[in-house]
Amino acid sequence: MKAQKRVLLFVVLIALVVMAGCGGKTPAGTESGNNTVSTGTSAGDKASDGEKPEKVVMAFITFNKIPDSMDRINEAVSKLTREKANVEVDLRPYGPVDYSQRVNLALASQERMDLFLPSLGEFASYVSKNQAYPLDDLIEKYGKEMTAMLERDFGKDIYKATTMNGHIYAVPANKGFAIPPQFVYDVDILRETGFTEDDVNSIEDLPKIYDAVRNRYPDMIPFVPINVSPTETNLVLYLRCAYEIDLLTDPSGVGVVIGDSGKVVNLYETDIFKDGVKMMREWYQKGYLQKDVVTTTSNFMEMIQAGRGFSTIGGYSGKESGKQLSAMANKNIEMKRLVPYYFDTSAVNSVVWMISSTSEVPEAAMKFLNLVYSDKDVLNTILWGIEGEDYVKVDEHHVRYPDGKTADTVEYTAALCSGLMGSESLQYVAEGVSWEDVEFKLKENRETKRSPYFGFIFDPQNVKTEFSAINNVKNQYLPGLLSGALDPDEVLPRFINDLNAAGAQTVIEEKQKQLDKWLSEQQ
Amino acid sequence: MQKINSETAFKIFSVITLTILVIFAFLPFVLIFVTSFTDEVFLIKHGYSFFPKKLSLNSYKYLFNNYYTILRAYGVSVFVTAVGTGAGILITTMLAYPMARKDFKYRNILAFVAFFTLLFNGGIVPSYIMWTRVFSINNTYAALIIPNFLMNAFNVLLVRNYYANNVPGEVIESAKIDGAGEMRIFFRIMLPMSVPVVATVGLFTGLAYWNDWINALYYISSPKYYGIQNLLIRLMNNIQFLKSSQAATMLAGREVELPSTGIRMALAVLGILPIIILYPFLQKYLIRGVVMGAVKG
Amino acid sequence: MRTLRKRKNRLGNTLPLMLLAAPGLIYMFINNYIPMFGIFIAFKEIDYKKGIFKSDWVGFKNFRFLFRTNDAFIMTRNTLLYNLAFIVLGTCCSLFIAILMSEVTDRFCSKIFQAGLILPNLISMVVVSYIVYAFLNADTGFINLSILKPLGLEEISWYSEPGRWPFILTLVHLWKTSGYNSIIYIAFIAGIDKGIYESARIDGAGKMKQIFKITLPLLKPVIIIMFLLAVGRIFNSDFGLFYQVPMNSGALYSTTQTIDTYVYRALMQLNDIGMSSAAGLYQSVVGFLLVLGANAIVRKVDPESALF
Repeated sequence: MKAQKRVLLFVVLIALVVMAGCGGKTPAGTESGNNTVSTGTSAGDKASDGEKPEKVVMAFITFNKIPDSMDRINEAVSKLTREKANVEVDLRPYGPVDYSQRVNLALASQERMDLFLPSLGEFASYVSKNQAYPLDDLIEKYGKEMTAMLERDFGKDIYKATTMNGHIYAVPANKGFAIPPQFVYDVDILRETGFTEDDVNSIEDLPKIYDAVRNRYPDMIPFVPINVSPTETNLVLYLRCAYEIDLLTDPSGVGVVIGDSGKVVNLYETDIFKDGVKMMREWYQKGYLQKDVVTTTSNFMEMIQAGRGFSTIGGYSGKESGKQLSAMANKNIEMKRLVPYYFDTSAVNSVVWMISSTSEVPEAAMKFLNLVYSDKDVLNTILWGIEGEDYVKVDEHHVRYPDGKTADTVEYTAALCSGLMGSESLQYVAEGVSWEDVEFKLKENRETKRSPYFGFIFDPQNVKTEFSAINNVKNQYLPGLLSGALDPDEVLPRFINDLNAAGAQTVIEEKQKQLDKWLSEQQ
Repeated sequence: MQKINSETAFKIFSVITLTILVIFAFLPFVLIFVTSFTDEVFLIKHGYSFFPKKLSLNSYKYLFNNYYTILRAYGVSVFVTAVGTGAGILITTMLAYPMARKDFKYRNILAFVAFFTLLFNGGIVPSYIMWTRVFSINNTYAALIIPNFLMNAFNVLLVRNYYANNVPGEVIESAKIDGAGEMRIFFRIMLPMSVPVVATVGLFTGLAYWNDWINALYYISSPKYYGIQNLLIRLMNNIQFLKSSQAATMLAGREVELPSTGIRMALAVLGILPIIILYPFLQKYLIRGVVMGAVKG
Repeated sequence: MRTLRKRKNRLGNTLPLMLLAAPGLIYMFINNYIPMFGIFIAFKEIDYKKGIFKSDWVGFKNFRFLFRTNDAFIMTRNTLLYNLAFIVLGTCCSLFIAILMSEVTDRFCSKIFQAGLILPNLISMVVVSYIVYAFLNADTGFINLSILKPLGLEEISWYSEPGRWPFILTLVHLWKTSGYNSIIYIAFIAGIDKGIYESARIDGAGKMKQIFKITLPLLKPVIIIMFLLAVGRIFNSDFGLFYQVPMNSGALYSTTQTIDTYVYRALMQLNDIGMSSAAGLYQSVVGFLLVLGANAIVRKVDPESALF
């Protein structure tokens, strides 16, 4: 009986291995079927001496409603791109939560997914897992217009932020990258306390205003975290900009460089961080933040809508965000910059487009990407849909939804993809948004100070084990420290201790090693 | 006399205790229900409350504007649940019956093979590769019905146990003597005798289908195929994503507006309410279905 | 002659029974067994260019992160203790409810009770976490605002006191699952031959005696099955319960961290399928060994109730 069982198990195992092999070898592209776009129109033929246009699959994140079918938009975009570059597109919009899951599955199963956005802040891990195609030659050959746009809007050094091990692996979304920490507040409340926006010039000015708000409105919470679960007060963003700290593309904060010292240190062991969390602790104890700030489920927007919150610190680009927030909250919200932004690599390489390393049509993908960055019609068809049906033009830069339609009811719109799609300076904006703001953002792009390590990308591959343990420790302590709910005198040493136990020193050494290597290659 | 008293007393005790328990089970749902009618500003100011001072119909008005999406989602959910549950019950009981037969040689091996699936799995990547590349089920109703939920080893073992312990072996023996084949024994005798457990498995399978959103997450890209739970979970997850990081602001190029808590709760109500209302009817129907299926087979 | 007939007989029942089992077995083979090849991913460093089949083997490297941390002990202890508590208390509560339910003869009442009892199971953990938060939050929570304050007791900041959470989480778990799981026992009680109770009654057995001498012994096989199935998943935990319900509060890690929440938090930024497969495999193997052990014991004591 026992022997029989064993034989059976063995047979099952063999069958598994055989089936597994078959599963893996199935030819690519079985899944493309549903979104067929008619091919071989006369226009396409003209452009390429009768060669059949190649189809590119592009997956993007959308915050708008996903339509039942993308056929209409695919055809409209493909019509343009067939003429211009003899390529067609199969656009795949996914919601923000599904997106990375869908892309990773597609990449793991070698399904077609030519153009995709890596998860935010994980550029290096995509490259070291060989998920990205090296783009140097492709950009050279098919991406000239795109490069021209990027260099005009950001600067010549743009590709530095996406170059790793000597190759360019991605193209950054071309937009305003500077998101300085801003004091975001309800201006009506501020005025009632007798202060004006001129009284806010630095973070040190805030406590006296908060005291005044507290006195006048005892029920109101002066400072609300901008994001919740986990609670984010943007203290680190503020410290980064105020003290010119380069996180070296690693949001964990273990291993940063301050100024141009060239020495990798643990952010949480520095006096800068200690003073920062002490300040938050003081704010917390004075009641500027709500008692349950670490676990609250109401973010700044909800609190200010309900009239319970007064201000927050948020990273926003340009000058129009206040207006948008006001419209959403039905309050008068304004913003004031606390310190200028500081460019380190992740400021630019967070939102980027990669071509899959297993793509069968990398050239076509680059040709298409080139058009998305440099061709107004292609870009705006992806963003706004078809003119007359999904949007109406108001003037050169402005559009609106057709009469009686809104973002929710219009058949197609991806207007909330403006931060990830193509060049911001070619995008139409909604009626009522100031066009000067785009120019202001581009000016900031060129003028914002760059870290001396701009272009360095940390690869966590060798220290994955330590890295994962550190992430866990960080999750445990950081929200409490950054919001002042935990007493730094007591908790900070414990936090540092746990980080070291999790292998912080190993990560710092690895980072220093990689940074030194990178620096030596720069000369 | 005393015996009857002890039994009546226990009966009264049962009803009272259960009533209290059911009230506790119901309370949070009442909270959700009330919240879906609560004014948003009041909610943020004072938190959740059973007796909000300000009511509002805004959430339902908002949902009513999207009635087409919601009705369609109900349609998808009902269809998938009905087909999946029916097929699931059939193959579950068919597999469980041989396992319960004490004279069946491979019964222990089958039980082990089933049990093993409860412990080990290869993760989503291999399943995804198989379903999409070999069977090409993406963007079909099959993608909502077939992967994961059709049969669950837990249910199989449950039914096996029921057959083994609650159906006397003599019943099968005497049927055999009458010349009935295995198929006939299963459909004519075993199924009708197992109504309670079939109803239970049907309930479990049905709820699993009704609440499922994972299959759609992996295999569906068109909202055409979204069921009602999908709408809810997607909304919930998107809200969590939007609230928890500024990534959204970066990607969207601007702040993204959140649907209100009221809308979320209203959608939760729409997901749960049909089950509460229909549960008694469904159960009756399910049992009748089992009995009729048995007679036909 | 006799042996021949016997053999024929046996073959005679094997084939039709296998045919009955076939659809289920085929489904299980496709849906569960084929994807199990993915277990090897746990031993690979995935290189997407090479594909998952041709990537390099790295031995047990992917498993290291599970033990590299100070939390290794805490998360294992928590996972085990919570599961033990859930198995014991959960079984008791479900049985209790099931026995009470079987006393309710009124059709209408029974339907209402059943619908009510499965209700908590229908609410997603995210919503449950909102509800718990509504009760416990420091500023506007029911317990602080409506119970402790009027009684003149000191308010409690629930989300920063880890000591209270084993109790809270167990309560939430029981509330959510007891009614649902009791349905199984209700079905099995319904299957018990009523004649047995009748004769017991004639013999003069009271209600309590009937429960302890008839109902529970007859339920023993199913209780054992449920127990064995639970043992197999003893290293797993309900992610929503341990992550969402405590609101991911760092102060509570010492009593809310389980293997699943650790893996989630640790891999959030790495997105490494090798490491996540490794974690899953580790949980499965431990569960498997424990269940084999438990099954062997059950087989010795009571062969009829063993799982296989």
